Amino acid sequence: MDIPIIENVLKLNDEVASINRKTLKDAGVYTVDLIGSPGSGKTSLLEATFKAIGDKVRIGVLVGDLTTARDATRIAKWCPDVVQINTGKGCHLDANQVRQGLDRLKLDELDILIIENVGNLICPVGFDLGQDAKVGLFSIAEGDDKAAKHPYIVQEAQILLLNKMDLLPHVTFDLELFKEDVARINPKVSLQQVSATQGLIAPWCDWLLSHIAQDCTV
Amino acid sequence: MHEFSLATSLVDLVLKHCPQDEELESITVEAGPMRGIDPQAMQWAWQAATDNTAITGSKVELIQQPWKLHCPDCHTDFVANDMFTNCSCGCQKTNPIDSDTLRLVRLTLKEPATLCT
Repeated sequence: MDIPIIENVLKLNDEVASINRKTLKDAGVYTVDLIGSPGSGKTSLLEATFKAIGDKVRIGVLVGDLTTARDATRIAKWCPDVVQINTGKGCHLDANQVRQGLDRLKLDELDILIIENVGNLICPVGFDLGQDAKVGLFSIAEGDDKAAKHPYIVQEAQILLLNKMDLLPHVTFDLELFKEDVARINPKVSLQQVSATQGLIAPWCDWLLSHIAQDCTV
Repeated sequence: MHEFSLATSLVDLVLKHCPQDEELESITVEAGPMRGIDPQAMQWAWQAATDNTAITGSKVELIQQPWKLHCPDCHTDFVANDMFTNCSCGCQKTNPIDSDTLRLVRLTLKEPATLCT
C-alpha cells in the first residue's frame, strides 16, 4: 500500500530556521551564512573583516567545525562574541545547532552575525540556518572549475567572493571561465575578488555595511 | 556524509508519517540534480540511519530529476541531462532553474500488513 506524501525532506530543519530568523530579525542582527571549502580562507576573511570594520560595527561569530576550537581561538583575538560549535561527525551546521549557539550570544548588542559554516561546498548549502544571506567563498588556489562543479552554492548565494587573488600570477586559473560559469549558473549573483590575507576585502565590507545601513533605515 | 545528513532528516519525517502498526517497505524521494545525491550512497546512508529504528530494513527509491534550464533569449524552459546544455535557439547562456527539489513523495508499506518491529 502506498501513502502519498509531499513533504520537504528538510522540513524539520526549516521550521527551526524560521524561529532563528525571527529571533535574529527581532534583535536587529543581519546574519550571513559563510560557506566555502576547507582552506578557502573563511577564518582569514573574518580576521580581515574585523581589522577593516571591527571598530564600526559589532560583529558576532558562530564557528562550525567537526572538531577543535582553533578557528574560534583565532577569531577571539578580534571579537569577544564568538561561539564554537563542534559538529562531531556532521559535515554542515543545521538550524538546531545554530539555535543553541544563538542562546550563547548577546544578540541585542550585535549588528552582524557571521556563521562560519563547516568547510564544505556541498552539504551546508541545503540547510537553512535562519540567515539573511548565504555567502559563497571560493579561492584561486582551488581551481577555476569549482563554480561549475558546485552549482548549488553559486545559485543560492547572494554574493560570491573569490579569495587569494594575490596568488593569481602563481597558479593556473582561467578567471574569465570562472566568471562565465558563475554568470550562467546565477546571472544575478555579485562576484567580488578579494585577498583576505592582504587585507584587500573592500567589496565584501561595503556589501556587509550596506545591509546594516538598509536595516537602520527601515 | 552528504547523503547521511539527508537520511537522518528523512528518518524523522518518515517516522512521523509511518503508521505504527505497519511495516515500511520503501520510501520514495524526488531529488533535483542540484542536490547532487548519489543513489548508492543514499541507500547505504538510509540503511545506517534507520538502524535500530521502527523502519529498519526499508529501502529508498530515489527519483532523480533532470536539469530544468531557462533560456534568457527565447524565454523557453526545457529539461536536459547536463547543466550546461545550450538552447535549441542557439543561446549558450541557459540558466538552471527549479533544479533543487528534495521531497519525500511516498511511503510504501509491506503487504500483507504486519506489525512494525
